[in-house]
Amino acid sequence: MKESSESALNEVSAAYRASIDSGLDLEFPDWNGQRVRPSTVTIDQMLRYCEAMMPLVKSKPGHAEARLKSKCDVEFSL
Amino acid sequence: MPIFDKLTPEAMRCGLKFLVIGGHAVIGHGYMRATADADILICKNDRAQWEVLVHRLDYIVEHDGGTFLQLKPASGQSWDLDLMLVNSETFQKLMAAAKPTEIDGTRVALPSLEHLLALKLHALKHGPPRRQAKDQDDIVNLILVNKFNFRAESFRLICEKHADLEIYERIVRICTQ
Repeated sequence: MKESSESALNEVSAAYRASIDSGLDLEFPDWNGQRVRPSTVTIDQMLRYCEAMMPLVKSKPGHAEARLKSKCDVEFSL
Repeated sequence: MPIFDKLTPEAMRCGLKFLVIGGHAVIGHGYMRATADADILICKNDRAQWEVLVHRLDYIVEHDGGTFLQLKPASGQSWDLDLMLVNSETFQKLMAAAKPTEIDGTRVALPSLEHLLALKLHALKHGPPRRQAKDQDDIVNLILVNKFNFRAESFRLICEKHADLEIYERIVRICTQ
């Protein structure tokens, strides 16, 4: 890489880092104390929701490959 | 596109038993979370008959992992189906304690809560790292939703047998917070 282009790249990179750093300087409220609300959805309602989301989930790049690598291959025994 | 309304009668016709595990079982035990496939647990002695059955239901084997089979529907948008294989003794013990539940208007068997936790602990300990967060989340939420006594000695023993004491302590710590 030429010296001039490397210095331009470093300059852009520094500016980018500075913008990210300031962008991450966020202040959040204290969410402690939220009540845990048990779900009122039935099993079948939840499964219909999963089915509705299925085309979206399956179309995600890498979904099929990830699925095939997700299983435990050590036999379970009681 | 429910799956158990077709699978259950076909299995009954063939005299084959199974337990619903994975996400469907987690939902069946009260923790409502999304799932993109259906998992069932079968006796490995029945494997050949199951392969014929799922083929008849238009499923094809995508991956044979030895202790499990991963299937996908040959056509259309339907549930992917995974079969987990266990030895006869384990299968009998799981069936003996199974919890009957209705899914999609069909009566199916789920593992008892203790057995489902044991299955999840086993996966957490021995499964690939990419699924650890999901298994841990399932265990914690199954405990909390069902007000399961995670401080009981019996739970420590389940953890010791199917995972380890480090996992046990982590789960107790999270559930206590």
